[in-house]
Amino acid sequence: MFGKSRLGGFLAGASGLFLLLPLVAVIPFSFTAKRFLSMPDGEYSLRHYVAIFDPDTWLASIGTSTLVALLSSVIATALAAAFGIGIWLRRPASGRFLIGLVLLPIIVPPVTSAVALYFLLAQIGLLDTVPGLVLSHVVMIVPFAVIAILGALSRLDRNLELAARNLGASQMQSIIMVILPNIRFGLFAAWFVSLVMSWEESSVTLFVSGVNVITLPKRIWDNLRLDLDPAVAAISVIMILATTLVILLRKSET
Amino acid sequence: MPAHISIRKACKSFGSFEALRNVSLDIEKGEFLTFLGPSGSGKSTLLNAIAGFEPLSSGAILKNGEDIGATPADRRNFGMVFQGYALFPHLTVVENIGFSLRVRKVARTEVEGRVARMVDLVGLRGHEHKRPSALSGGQQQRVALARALVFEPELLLLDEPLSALDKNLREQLQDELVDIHRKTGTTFLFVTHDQMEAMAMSDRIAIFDRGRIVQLDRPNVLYDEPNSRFVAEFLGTMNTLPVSRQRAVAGELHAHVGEFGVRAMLPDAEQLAGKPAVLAIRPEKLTLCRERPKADYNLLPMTIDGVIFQGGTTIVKGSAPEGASLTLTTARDALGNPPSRGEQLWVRWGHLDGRVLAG
Amino acid sequence: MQRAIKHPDPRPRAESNIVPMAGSDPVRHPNSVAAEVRNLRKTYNAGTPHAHEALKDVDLSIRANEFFTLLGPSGCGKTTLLRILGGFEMLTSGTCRIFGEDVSRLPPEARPVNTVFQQYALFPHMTVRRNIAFGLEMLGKPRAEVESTVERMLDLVHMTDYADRRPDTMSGGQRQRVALARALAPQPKLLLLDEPLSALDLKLRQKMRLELKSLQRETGITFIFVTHDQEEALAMSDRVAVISNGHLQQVGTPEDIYEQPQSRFVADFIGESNLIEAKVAGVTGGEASLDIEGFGKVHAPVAERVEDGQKVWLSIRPERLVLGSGDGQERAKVTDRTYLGNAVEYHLHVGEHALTARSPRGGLRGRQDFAPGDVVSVGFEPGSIKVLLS
Repeated sequence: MFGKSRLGGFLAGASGLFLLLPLVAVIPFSFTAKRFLSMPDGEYSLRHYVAIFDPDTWLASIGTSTLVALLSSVIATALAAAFGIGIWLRRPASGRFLIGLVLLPIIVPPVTSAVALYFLLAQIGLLDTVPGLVLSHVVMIVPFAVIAILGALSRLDRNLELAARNLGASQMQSIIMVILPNIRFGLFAAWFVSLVMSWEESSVTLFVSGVNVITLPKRIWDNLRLDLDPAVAAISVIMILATTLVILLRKSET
Repeated sequence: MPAHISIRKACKSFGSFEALRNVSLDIEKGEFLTFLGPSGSGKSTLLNAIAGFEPLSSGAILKNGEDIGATPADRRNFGMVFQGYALFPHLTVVENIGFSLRVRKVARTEVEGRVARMVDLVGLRGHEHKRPSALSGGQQQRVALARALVFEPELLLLDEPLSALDKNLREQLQDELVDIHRKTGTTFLFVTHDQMEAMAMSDRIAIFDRGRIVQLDRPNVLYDEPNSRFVAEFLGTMNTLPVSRQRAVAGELHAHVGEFGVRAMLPDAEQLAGKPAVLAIRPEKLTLCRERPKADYNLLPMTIDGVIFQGGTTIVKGSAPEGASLTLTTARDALGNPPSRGEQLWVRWGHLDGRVLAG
Repeated sequence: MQRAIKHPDPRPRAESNIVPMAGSDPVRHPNSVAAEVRNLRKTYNAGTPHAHEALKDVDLSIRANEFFTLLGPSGCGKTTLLRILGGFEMLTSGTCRIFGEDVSRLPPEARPVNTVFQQYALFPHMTVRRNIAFGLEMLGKPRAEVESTVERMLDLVHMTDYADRRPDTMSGGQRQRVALARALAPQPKLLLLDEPLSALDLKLRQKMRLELKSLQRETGITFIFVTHDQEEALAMSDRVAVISNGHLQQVGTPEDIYEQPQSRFVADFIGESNLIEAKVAGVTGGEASLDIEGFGKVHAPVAERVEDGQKVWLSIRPERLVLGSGDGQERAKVTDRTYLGNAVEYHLHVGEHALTARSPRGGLRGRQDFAPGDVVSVGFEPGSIKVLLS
């Protein structure tokens, strides 16, 4: 309403720069010609980018991470949608309590969840397997999917469901024909957030896998601890670029 | 023969709040019935109960004599137009209108034919493939109406459908609604808090106050013969004069406002025995005069407090004896030159114009 | 009630020993112009395919101490004009002066103007008292003055009992009064009101009209009021500007606008009008003879030059049509009758023309009533026909 606020522009710009600095700082490291993580001193090389394509190490981990992220994000979105729509339709008196319960994994320290999941998976024999890892990720990311879907539902006109019922649609028909299409952006957001969260999950992953199943964050972690491989910087730069690309693409859509 | 729709002793409470208290009424087939009342008076609660969205706490809803209390909303076959329309934003106009037929698995060619007839009925040709967000308020309203009528419901429920529109459009759509009611012959049950809307459109009006129906009748009966101060003041403007020294004389009330005698018809003297009464007179029944009229009763002096220009009519506000404030409407040029603030004038009225109500 | 006109000092309270009535002392600016816009244009998204001209060459001058209303349908540009006056929107070209000073480049807080918003925009985390004090504190007024002004404002809007409540515990009408008090407290020279009554229900709206009008009279502050409700505009204003499509259609007193509309738009937007196409069939003196197809000839005064055969429109208010029967002149068919409580509205067909007539009920004289299907005669009250060229 006040046209263009200069103070507002300055505040947003300054804090944006502050957030971006550490990301930008990693870029020069990836072009070093040395074998260990360091600033390039006049010599530049792409050898660490080439190393990423080793099918036994980095490429294998990228494959594992992609598989786990795809599976767990789809499962988490489906569970979150079922929970959110159920709460939205029923409006139970205990609704706030139930939502609090579902969001608990966000508040509990990840290490605590990790220990609990470790014992659970050990019990059922899924430790260090893809299904076990997917199960763990789903537990950790469902709360974020629930937040995205509850947000979409809170903007949905309740009368739409009443109108569908009044026009002769059964409960199931009204969910499929009216509710789901109208929260499709929320569903997509939930899926996307889940995908990213699973892709970068490390704390629980370190506990419940690591020998047979090695995700990308796990491999980065090992590399940093054991031999300071500059490939870590290279893969970071690639991930920053990919993320920027996705954001730019989404912006040009709208 | 049982009534089309019957409400029997309907009660509904939300916690300690009683939204409906023992409401009974019959809705006749084909009529345009309006629920009118202030917000929170229970009119929407009853509408939602009839639609099947909220069960009653006690009481029954009968359709042709049969209790439908346990029938879910999607099996009642009542159409509904929502406040804010509740059009499906992801569907086009024709998809919205055809929704009820698709869930009923009606054959595709028949859906197309019936939707096309509805599009014509509500005048939406040329907008068939637009999304609701691309339509104006009035057009969205027409889609909502077509969507609720296409499956030929036995009863159409309308929940304040015009309240979001501006005045000129609202008046135009009132005419269209009445016209569609006439053409389809469907029973219309209309909910509003706008008394002008109710009077202009309805065959009968039920007036709601705090969970009860206080009066149910044709608009002109409600306006001319309100049974309570609430109805009188809710439907249009009503002047109420506190009277003293009241007596019932041969079907008439004789009383005083300060020093001035007033008379009015009093068909049921029992109703007032001992209770204080007020004399209620509509603003348009009062006549302003500059000279004291030759009459023995039903005239009062009035000091003008304000004159409000309203185009075709002028509203005059003033104070009368006993602290009563009076509002009257006159044609612009009724007095020659209009009254000014502070001027002393006389008002008078006929003795059929006043109505006695319990104070 | 006549008040003495004081010297044009904007703050006449300074040396005055006159005890103010309720509220502040009127700020009088005899014969001065409160706000003036010249050749004002506002184009949104200029130079793009979505360019939208919200205001096109508007010239307007608003007198000090008047209750001035900008009236028009939604999207006509009235709110844009108000925002330009308030400094919330930059003008594209032209000038905007407030009490003689060019304010085109001034930010909102540097203008001697306050605004009451449609949704009140009260600060929800502050009490009524703190809301009202806010503007005074921003001006750096001493504490004692802030307190006494707030008390006066609370009294002026009858909200003293609610001084320590928060806005969310109050009704719409009460919030409205607080919003007014907050805007009036810093004693602006000009108060802008953006549809402040539209969120209230009918009865409360009618009551607030009278309150607003008397508040304006008591404080003497120039009010510029924006509304799409013509009844509201007619009831409160000293003068009204009718705006449509970014153009100023007509400016005048409520009576002028209603009785002497200059265009079909104004005739139709202010109250209701029957608009009938006619052809000029001769002019004598200031009176034209007009031929209405399928109806016959009528006579009406014309102010502008018209020529024989020219197409014009006649505007007649529904309450000035006189229906009758039994005089042998019946040629209008009643197609519909709508009951309105204090009046009855008839829709009529005369040949190809659809007319609306409104007949008041009540008074001491009896009125004839008609039913759909009746055939009646139609007459016009003398002086009721207005000839419009556009």
